[in-house]
Amino acid sequence: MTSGTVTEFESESRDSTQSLVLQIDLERCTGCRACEAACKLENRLGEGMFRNRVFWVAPGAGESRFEFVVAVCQQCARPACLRACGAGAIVKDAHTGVVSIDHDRCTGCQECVLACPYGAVSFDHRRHKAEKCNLCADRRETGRGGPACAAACPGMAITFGPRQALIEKARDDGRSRRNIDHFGLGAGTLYLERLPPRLSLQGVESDGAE
Amino acid sequence: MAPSNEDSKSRSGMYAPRAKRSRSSRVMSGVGDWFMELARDRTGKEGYPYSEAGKPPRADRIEVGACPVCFNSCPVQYHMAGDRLTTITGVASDPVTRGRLCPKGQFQIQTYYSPDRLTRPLKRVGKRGEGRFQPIAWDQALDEVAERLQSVRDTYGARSLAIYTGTRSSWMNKAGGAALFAELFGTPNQEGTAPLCAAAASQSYLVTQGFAPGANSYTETDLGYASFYLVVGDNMAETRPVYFGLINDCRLRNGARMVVVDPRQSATAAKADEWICNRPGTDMALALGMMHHLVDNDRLATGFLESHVVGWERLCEFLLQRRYTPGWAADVCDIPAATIRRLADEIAAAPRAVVFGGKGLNQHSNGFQTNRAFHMLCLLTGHWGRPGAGFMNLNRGLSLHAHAPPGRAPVRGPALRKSPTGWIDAMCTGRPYPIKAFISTGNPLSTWPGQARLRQGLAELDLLVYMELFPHATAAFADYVFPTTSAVEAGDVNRSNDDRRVGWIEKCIEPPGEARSDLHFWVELGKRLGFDDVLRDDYKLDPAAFWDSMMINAQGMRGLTTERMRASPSKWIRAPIPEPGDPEVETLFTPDSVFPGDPKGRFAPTPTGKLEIWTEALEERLAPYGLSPLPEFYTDRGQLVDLPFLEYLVDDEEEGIPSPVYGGKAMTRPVRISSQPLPRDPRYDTELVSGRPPAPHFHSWTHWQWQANEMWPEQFAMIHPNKASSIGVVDGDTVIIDNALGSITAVAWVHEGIRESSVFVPIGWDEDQKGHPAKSVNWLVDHRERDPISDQTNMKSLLVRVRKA
Repeated sequence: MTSGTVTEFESESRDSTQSLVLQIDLERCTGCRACEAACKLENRLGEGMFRNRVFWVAPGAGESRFEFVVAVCQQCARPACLRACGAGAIVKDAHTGVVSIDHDRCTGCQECVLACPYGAVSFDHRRHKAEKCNLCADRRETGRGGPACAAACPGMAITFGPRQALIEKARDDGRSRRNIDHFGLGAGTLYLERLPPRLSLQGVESDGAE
Repeated sequence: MAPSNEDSKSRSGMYAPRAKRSRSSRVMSGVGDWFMELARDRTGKEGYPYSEAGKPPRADRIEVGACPVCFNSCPVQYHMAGDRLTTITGVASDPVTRGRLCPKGQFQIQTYYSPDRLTRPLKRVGKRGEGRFQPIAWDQALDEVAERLQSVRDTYGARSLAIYTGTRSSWMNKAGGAALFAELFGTPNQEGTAPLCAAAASQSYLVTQGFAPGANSYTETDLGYASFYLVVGDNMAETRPVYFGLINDCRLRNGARMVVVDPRQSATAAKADEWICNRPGTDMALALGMMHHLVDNDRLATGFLESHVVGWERLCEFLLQRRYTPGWAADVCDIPAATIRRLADEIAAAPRAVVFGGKGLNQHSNGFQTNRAFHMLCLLTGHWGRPGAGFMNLNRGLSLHAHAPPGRAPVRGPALRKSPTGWIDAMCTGRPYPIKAFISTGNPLSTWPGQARLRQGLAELDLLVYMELFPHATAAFADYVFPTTSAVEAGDVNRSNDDRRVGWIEKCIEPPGEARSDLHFWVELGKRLGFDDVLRDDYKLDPAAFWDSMMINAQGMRGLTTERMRASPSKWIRAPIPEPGDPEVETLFTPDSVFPGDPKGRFAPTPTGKLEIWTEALEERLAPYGLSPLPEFYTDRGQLVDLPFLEYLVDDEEEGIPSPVYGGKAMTRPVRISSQPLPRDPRYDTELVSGRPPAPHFHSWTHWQWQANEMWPEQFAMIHPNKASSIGVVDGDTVIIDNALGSITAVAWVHEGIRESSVFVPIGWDEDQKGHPAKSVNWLVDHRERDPISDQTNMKSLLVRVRKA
């Protein structure tokens, strides 16, 4: 499935038009966890194993509204998991930028689980293998569509596609993105900021009703 | 298999700024550092629930059907490999859902292959409540139940049998098999969940428009087309996640505005443009105050009112005369008067406004009038019967109901009460007449108010039969337990939903063990009592034949055939369809339209043919309750301030009077509105609000699914930080919540998104379920405080005490 790896410094795939990512719209996510259900059904994951998780974030100072966040692999340009893997089991696809685990090589040491600062790698204790999102490689390869989470999302909060195209669409829609690249890894997953609340009906067109 | 997330802490605790989080390790404080917490809790516990891990699902065919779980009723694809269901996905081509599906609709596959399913009939050998059983053959169990039912009928009369169809039941059970059996047996005491859930919504719609479901549809061109959404007591995002996704997407694309009124910042409120926190149980006063402002400022849609509405002038006089001003409403609702005026101005100015109501309006002793007050608000502003304008509140709605042929069934008197909780005192005391046999296809020991009293009642029964998927708390009290099927194991229709969609579900998989459908049970039990001429044997294997011949005979429903559902790409059609071949209607009650199939060709199937606020006839109809159609304000007794409340002139042990809105088919209690100060016990200083848990849970059955438990494990109690500090509680502590009726425990979720004087506890937990057993919040709910008109129980404003355990 993979056609090669890039090292931590070879980040050109981040800017490749082929680079595939998820985009999470924080305005649309309702925290329902349908994406978790879809992921586990598609990837046959049991209890305690995750490729994505949804967190409810309570308002902090100055914030009044609950925020719901999908935590999932960032398909980093310089993946910490890849660096941490001593077995060479984690690869980053040169074309799509998808970071995936070769289970035949994974030794189950869990270094990648600890290394990922986004908590995106979990562990399958039975097979003794690391588990992470590969953007539903099997669905993509068998023509069953994009990632299961994006297909199921009731809030239309998760979209999938080439990173550059998603960035341009967001820009055209006037949406700003939240920078979560705190660790300098070149986090790829896009998070669209919440919109300011609409405080009045001004600007809503009238249809001449009474 | 309880998925405690705590075990893995030692390993990754270094990443966790806050250690104690037993409620759910995934609710956090502090925006911005959310990813710091993610490294915790990664040790897998269970095995591979679907198939060998790493092997993607493969299907050789896809059956399109409906999801049988909740009131969103999404179409789904059942992916089959041979006779095995491999996965469930949404239907991408569906115009409403576009492939979207909530968590429980997907992991429902865990029900079908659950090791915890009931698979054999059981007979009790221990004491009631002890939970000791031995297997028994279906035929033997049915013979014994039939014999004991006959004995109850001979001794106490047919009406001493009560039948309750619970939250997992489709129309085919509650209004089909169970309803026919009750009719033929001769008992009027058969009911589903409506009086616990949405009877106030359906009865108020019937008065206003003569048709119980809402008039609008979940399409981009109807409900998605509004410019202003007022969501009152309705947590759409968690209770109908897929519908909410559509509405919210349209809101964002169209620049529409959404305001949510709720004592709690629900997920819906978190998505809205504005959250208005109100006193529980006072939504009616909000509508009254808004309407007063509109009348006072002459902002009425008079053209629409004059042509389509009856009794609106009388309402306007009433509002002014009673001085239901925004200032008055402000004190009642605990919302600033300026906000009430602004909301009123906004709804009047909006080109198209939709008001979404929910259980927050229904589940109060004023549920019927509260719903009507919001109808009136929509009518006064002209927001009714137009695309993108209307009032929506989910209810059982459509008249899909089986009846025995005329003259076949014995004459029945009225039901003891419309609400099943009105049967509890009769179980306990035998007054006004005894209930001695009880068949439950649901879990009243979680869902009914009055849990302590209900247990007393169950102890007095001669016979308790329980038919379910899982051994919920009620199972332990049963004399006989029958294993039942879910829709996809038998063939059935979806649940009622506020989109008026009726969908067919093919039988895709074999039921586990000896589990049989509800219809199978009613046919076989009926056969033993001589009902097989009506409850025919062939219906057991052919539910479609039962549907087509028995369920769609009412006005407007005759076109809802299985043939038509099966021919539709997503297997659903939108009611009403008066005759096969008639078109579906997206928006009902559009100006000058004729109601589909109305025999007299009228605009609305009401007595006047118009939308009704007040008429002489309606005044006479409501007079026996002691109430008027004009919305005089009162609320529940459980308030921290003195507000008008109901005095019940008759209790449940007395016969009562025939309920006019139920056509005299149920008895009810007349009332008097009292404004006297009500004595309050100072210990109970907190307003309890109950409600649906987050989206992964639905009543009892999801508590047997490992993934729902993983997502939302323990019963929680949401309290405000100021409340928490005043009682020495921190997030994650166990709290005791009690009142004079009972006591429960829950895990504190300290969160500022709730009214300071309130506590929110979700429904659905019970003390016997597999995941995280807990006494249901309904231990704290008084089964007697009900709306006299709809018989809906107040489950949302009660006074309790919250303490650290």
